[in-house]
Amino acid sequence: MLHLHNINSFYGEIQVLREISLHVQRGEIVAIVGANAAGKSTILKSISGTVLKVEGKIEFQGNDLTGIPAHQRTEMGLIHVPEGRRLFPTMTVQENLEMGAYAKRARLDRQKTLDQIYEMLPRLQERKKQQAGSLSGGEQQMVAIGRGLMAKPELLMLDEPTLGLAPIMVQWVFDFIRQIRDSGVTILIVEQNATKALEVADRGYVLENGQIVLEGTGQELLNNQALRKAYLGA
Amino acid sequence: MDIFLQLLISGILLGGVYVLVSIGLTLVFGVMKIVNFAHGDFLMLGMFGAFFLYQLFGLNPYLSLLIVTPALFILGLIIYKTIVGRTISRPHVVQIFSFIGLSVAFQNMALVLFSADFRSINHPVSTKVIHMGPIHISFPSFIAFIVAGIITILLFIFLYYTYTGKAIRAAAQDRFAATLMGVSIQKIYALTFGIGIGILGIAGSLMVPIYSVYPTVGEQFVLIAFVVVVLGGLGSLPGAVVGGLLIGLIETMSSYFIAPSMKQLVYFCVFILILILRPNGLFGKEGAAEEALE
Ligand SMILES: Nc1ncnc2c1ncn2[C@@H]1O[C@H](COP(=O)(O)OP(=O)(O)OP(=O)(O)O)[C@@H](O)[C@H]1O
Ligand SMILES: [Mg+2]
Repeated sequence: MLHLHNINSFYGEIQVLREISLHVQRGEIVAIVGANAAGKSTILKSISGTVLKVEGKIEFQGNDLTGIPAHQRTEMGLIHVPEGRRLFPTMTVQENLEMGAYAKRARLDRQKTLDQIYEMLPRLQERKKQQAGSLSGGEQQMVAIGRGLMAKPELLMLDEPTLGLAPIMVQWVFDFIRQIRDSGVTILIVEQNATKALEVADRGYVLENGQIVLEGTGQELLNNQALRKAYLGA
Repeated sequence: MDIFLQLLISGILLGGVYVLVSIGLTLVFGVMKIVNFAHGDFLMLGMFGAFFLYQLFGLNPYLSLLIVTPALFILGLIIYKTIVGRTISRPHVVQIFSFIGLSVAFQNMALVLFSADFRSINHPVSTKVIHMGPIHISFPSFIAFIVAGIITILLFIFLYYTYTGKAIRAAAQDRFAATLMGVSIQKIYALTFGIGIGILGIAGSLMVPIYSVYPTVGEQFVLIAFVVVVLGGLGSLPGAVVGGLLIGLIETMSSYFIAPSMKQLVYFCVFILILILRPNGLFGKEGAAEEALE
């Protein structure tokens, strides 16, 4: 579904990603794990078209994304839920969700999708008139993921969705990610919380200094001695 | 007492004009985080537009509004596409000098085409006065005030109750996140800039019966607009409304009680005082100015 071929990404003159190749198949949950500043977010930004300079080829559902601006990639069902949630703080929960359906592919079904999301996340329905900035961290993350789902994603990319959440919310997020996948949405997730991410993932990639150093099924990576030492603290 | 009431009403009416002149500036700043230094010159073009429509075709300024406003909206779109849009992700100096260049170009173009003469229309509405007991209300100022109110309310409804308006607010709050929703930032910015300039078409038409028009008329008003916008809080619509009315009142009161030549001194003193007490302006959010300079 998604193929990256030898991607090099830059911020100005600084190269952050080196020769990244990875792929995601329809129906999978794929995790990218790695330490701080490894370049995890930059991979997602390169895919969503929000990094200025990207070399190499990214294909999504058979289309070459080179030269396609970010807002049109959303139109293709390639949805990026950014790190730090990035809600519109003074807009209400409902307005935030509605903005998620801005792409034409989602706009007509806006009300229907919204109803579905309220059904899945009743807490958001209770808070729909509240300003997004006034929610708790966990609730904000629900809005962020819900907003992503409003766009009717084919591939949903989640950047550190459990960052700063209480353990019980972390568990909830991973359960919810499984539930989303089971509803037919493919998932690419970036996490520092490597153990949890690899537990839910079908496959994973380990990123170090902008390069992929390991890949395998979630279970393989969890069992990998070197990785356990380096990241999993075991 | 009568005189006080008279000043109060005149001041508020004058404030209405200032609101109209300022609201596009604060809108463009709030959404795009750029300061349109050519704002006053777009107003000048709007005023000249209404002036010539009257002079050449005898069109009532309140009707010429229907032509000048869309014309300025389109001019705004063109200027956005050709100049402003190209400076969006550039350093701040590039934006500032683009606007200053635009301002110089507009003023000199007007100078060449229309000469430096002060012109004013000789329409009966210019001098029409409404009498309410002892109070005299200038008819064109009254109309300008009413229209300013209507425009402000319409703009508010547009931004808060339409989907496109919400997209504008979303882009204003988080450009990156809005892009990820599929919002084309360039389109939203072009629309915002067009609206900001279009409102000056309304302002220009309503002001032509009140003020004379000449190539540098914008400078006088853009200064007030900056005071209003900073006073109210950069990017805040309610701030521009309160700021505009406040400056109108202060100006009217101080010209009467102190001296007409002192009015600017007085409102600048109030301006400085308010900024000392509330550095972000009356309704400004923290960091708005820094955001513009990031
Ligand atoms: N806008 C930017 N301009 C310049 N450098 C950047 C920018 N964004 C990120 N970087 C740099 O690129 C490198 C990779 O950043 P990235 O955000 O992709 O890391 P990450 O793996 O997501 O880290 P984290 O776990 O902290 O989110 C870092 O060294 C960072 O400083
Ligand atoms: Mg990151």
